[in-house]
Amino acid sequence: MERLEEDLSLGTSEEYKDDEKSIFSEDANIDNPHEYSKHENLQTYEPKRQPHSFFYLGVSGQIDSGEFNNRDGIAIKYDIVKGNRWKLVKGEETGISQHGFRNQGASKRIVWNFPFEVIYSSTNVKEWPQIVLYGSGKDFRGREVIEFYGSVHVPTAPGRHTRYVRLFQPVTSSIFGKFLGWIKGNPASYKDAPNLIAKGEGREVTRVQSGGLIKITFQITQRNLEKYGYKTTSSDD
Amino acid sequence: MSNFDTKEARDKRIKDELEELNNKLELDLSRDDSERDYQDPQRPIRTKADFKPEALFVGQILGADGFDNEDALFLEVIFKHGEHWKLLALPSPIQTHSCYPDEDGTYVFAHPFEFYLTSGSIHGWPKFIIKVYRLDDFGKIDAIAYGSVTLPNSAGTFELECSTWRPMGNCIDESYSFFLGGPPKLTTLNPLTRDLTLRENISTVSSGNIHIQCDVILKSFEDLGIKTS
Repeated sequence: MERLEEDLSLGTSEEYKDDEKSIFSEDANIDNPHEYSKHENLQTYEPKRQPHSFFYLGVSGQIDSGEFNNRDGIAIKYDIVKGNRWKLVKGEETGISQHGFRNQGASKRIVWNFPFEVIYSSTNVKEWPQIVLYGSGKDFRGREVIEFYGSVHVPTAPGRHTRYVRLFQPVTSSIFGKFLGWIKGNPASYKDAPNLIAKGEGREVTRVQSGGLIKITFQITQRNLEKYGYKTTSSDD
Repeated sequence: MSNFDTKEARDKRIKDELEELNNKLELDLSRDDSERDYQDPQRPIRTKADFKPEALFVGQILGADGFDNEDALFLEVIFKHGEHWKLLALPSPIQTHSCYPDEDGTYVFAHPFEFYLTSGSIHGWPKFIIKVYRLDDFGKIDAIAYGSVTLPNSAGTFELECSTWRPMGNCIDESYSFFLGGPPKLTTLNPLTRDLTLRENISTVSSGNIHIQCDVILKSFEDLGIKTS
């Protein structure tokens, strides 16, 4: 099988080149559990050679835009937090976007249009992945300071989804602490950042106020979840 | 059978026995799992454990609005399920951070939760019982509203809205609570879901709404004939 060269290549051309392998070759690549052998459905059940019952979850999408009341020049950083059974197959779990500024008009919308794509494989649905978002801006001396936090779970149903995430910012307890934080470029921030935001334990003693609203578009692809009995959409058929 | 068979009789006997054996073998073959797999290649071999229904509730307590308050609020959320349900992980009590409202009166909690349960009955579908607390400028904490909401029972993504109320006292109690804080509270949470007959004796005042986003994954409910959508 030969693949036509595309002009807009998404990465190095080595990634997308098919290996010279016949589809009827021996399923000798059983060591790589993610290898898709096209005739796996016709195999007989042999417990010693059956690969694990992995299912795959592909999460792609982009962080579109956001609105903050009176702050400008915000960059969004994301972190994907998941259980330890989930293995990353492809993609990057963190990313930092550009600093976005509003347009000159009256609209408060800041546009990042920052795409992400990850593929996970797991054997159990617990500890479903979440995306933790941080909003950071530059202070009066040019230092990068993280001010806003928020999180959203990756949607469980396959298909296209839009989520509006509200961010919050921690509030310092005293006016003097706030002033000192402003001078040093070090306002109130969370110490154990992704886990504290994603798990929610330990946040009881903090005080926050509402920060901004961010629009994220998700596109979810699943493989083998229904085969192992998990139902993620209610069908209308 | 005589030992002195003719050759044809012996041949016939051997042929009959062979045919019988063949039939037996064919029956065995059709019961082989590989044969079944070939007929329905999409279904993997399933054991008894695959037919135990499981449900995963994943989501966030998004926020609240509609409370005419300028003080900070925080929520305590209790996850309640029937006796035939079992949590597959340690239960974690949910208490959110305290949030100050913005100009529209919306509070942002963004508190993620995840509950993974096996079920033995459709009775006692899980629900949240929510207590809303107010933290004022002097550091005093008061429970100002109560509410309960049942989690969705079909797979997919849902936005739930839980409306809340608080008990109302006589006019002395109400003016006390207006000027000094300390509204009338429930002594037990039983009137919420456990013992609804207690609600005949109380009057309540409406309060704001809590917004919750919940994603649900169900396993093996449909295999047992339970239809939820």
